[in-house]
Amino acid sequence: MIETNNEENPRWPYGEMDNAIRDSGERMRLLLENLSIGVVVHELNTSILFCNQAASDFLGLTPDQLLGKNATDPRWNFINEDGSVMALEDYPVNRLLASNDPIKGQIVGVVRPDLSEPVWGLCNAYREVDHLGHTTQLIVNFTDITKEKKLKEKLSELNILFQAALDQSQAGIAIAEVATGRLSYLNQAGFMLLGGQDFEKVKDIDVESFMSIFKLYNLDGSRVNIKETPLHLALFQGVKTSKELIFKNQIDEERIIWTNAAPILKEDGKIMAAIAIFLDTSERYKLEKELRAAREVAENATLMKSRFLDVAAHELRTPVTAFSLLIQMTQRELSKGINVQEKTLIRLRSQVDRITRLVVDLLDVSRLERGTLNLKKVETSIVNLISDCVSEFNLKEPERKILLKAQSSPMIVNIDPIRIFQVTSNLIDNAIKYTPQNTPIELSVEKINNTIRIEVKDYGQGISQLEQAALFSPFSRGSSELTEKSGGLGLGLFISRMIIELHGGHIGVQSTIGMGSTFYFELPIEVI
Amino acid sequence: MNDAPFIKKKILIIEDEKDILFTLKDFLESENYLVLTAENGFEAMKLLQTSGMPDLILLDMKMPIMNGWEFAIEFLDKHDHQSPMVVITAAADAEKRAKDISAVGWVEKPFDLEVLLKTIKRYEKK
Repeated sequence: MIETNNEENPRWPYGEMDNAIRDSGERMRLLLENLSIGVVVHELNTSILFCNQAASDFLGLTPDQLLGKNATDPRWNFINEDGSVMALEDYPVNRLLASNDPIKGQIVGVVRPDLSEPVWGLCNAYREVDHLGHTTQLIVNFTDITKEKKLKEKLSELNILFQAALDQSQAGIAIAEVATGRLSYLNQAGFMLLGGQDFEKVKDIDVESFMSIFKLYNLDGSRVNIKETPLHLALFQGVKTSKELIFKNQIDEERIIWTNAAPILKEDGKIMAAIAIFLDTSERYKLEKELRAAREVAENATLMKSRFLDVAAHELRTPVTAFSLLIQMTQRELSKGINVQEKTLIRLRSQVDRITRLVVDLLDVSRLERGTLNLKKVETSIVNLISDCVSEFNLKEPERKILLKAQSSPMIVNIDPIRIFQVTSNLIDNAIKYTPQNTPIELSVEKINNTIRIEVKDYGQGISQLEQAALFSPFSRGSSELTEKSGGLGLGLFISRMIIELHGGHIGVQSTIGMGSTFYFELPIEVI
Repeated sequence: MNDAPFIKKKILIIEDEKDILFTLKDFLESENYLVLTAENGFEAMKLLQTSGMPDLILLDMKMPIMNGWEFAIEFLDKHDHQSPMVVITAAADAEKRAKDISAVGWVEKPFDLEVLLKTIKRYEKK
């Protein structure tokens, strides 16, 4: 043993150096033990020389169990990030040995028998080198990232679920961000709903350009400014709104879309983004519209029928009144010994005719409504038929000028002559009834391609577009004063239309107010 | 009944149904009335310019050219209540129609000639 005397030999202060080294070692140990980062020091043969508490906790083995073990020990169950068993050469310490560079940021999973799930560490490894450049020790440290990794996985799972939910949604969903003013998300439904533009183009587009793809209208047809759309309002004003709008895309397809948008706020209350939901309500809107229309039609029909009953009652009362008066008069005269007068009989006959016409019309309508009116078609000269009809009116109404313009050929068609006579007669009758006595009525028969066109032209006051539309419907007699003042049930044109349609033809009117009207019907020439 | 022509009461019938119009004319003439006829309000107004005021007007409502309402308005405007009006109508609300045009009475079609005669006698100018 060498005697030491510090005072005598101050250049050799063994005791203090020993103390200093010991203290420094102790401090180092304390530091390492209290570090949250695990540190393992390996010898060059990979056997463990030192490990701190954090390392032992992480690996689930006591320092005693760890010291002297090397990296090839089968008790290490290291796994890769994807869950596969880690190959020996991939162990951080072995990789370090195989390379001169330090290892940084390797993720290592440890399957511990005492835990149901692996723990995860982020590893760094480096060599400790002496002043000669020789490696003396291998040092591996690792940070426990198990919690972070789990959280990340959970987040990613949530993200997948969230994304799936959005993607699968039947409603269109769009998310736009304030920072960029761009659309950061649009799901497939939204993409399809909004007219299926090029998805890549739409994906990262700014909101204004996105909304400008469409022409937007309110349901009343007025244009909608982009700044009034719910997505815009939510993103730039922070307002939550919903609106039903007509979206017209570039190829003019129209959809009615209910859109609702709300701002997404940050914790400080500032707008971060906006989410918009789009629902295609076109079908529902169409159905509602159809339903409304159907209801209107039904209500109209009811109204018309009840009005028709009023008219019918009134129309029947008049001839019944005349009957009643004529019979009362006759009775009075007979009681006074006066014979039945001829004028009375003529008047009675005319009222019987009138009632007969009403009853025939009613029967026709009833048959037409039930589809039991059958045509008795025969080969007929239409020119002769129209000519006969005109002659009859010329006899009945000698003071009225009724003219016929027709070619000399007879024009044979396969029709029900009685019914076509009825139609012609009805049109002439109307012309007489609704036009001044001193104006002529002109008929013409003309062959145009494969149809025969018969026209009845008058020089009356004409019929408004509105009234024209209703003329050929049953029970829809015009409400104008003119029709109100005229007798009849207003069924003539409806019956005429049905008869012409049963013949495969078409009936219509051309009229200008103040210029008169031309009623016409066209009959197909059947090729046998 | 007095057959003296100078005291015959004068009745104006305004009715577009000729059969009704002339049957009523025949009837009232057989009852010793002097009967004027018009087939619509317009004709009646024209007739009144030359005929003098009748003792009663029988007025149909639904007529072409000038109907009962239009006639009543024009008549009251020009001649005030110089002739009482009795409405003859096929409408279900005859009473209301009569009131609407300040007519003194109404008969509903179809009617009995005796009823008509009674109504006329009740309301004609005395």
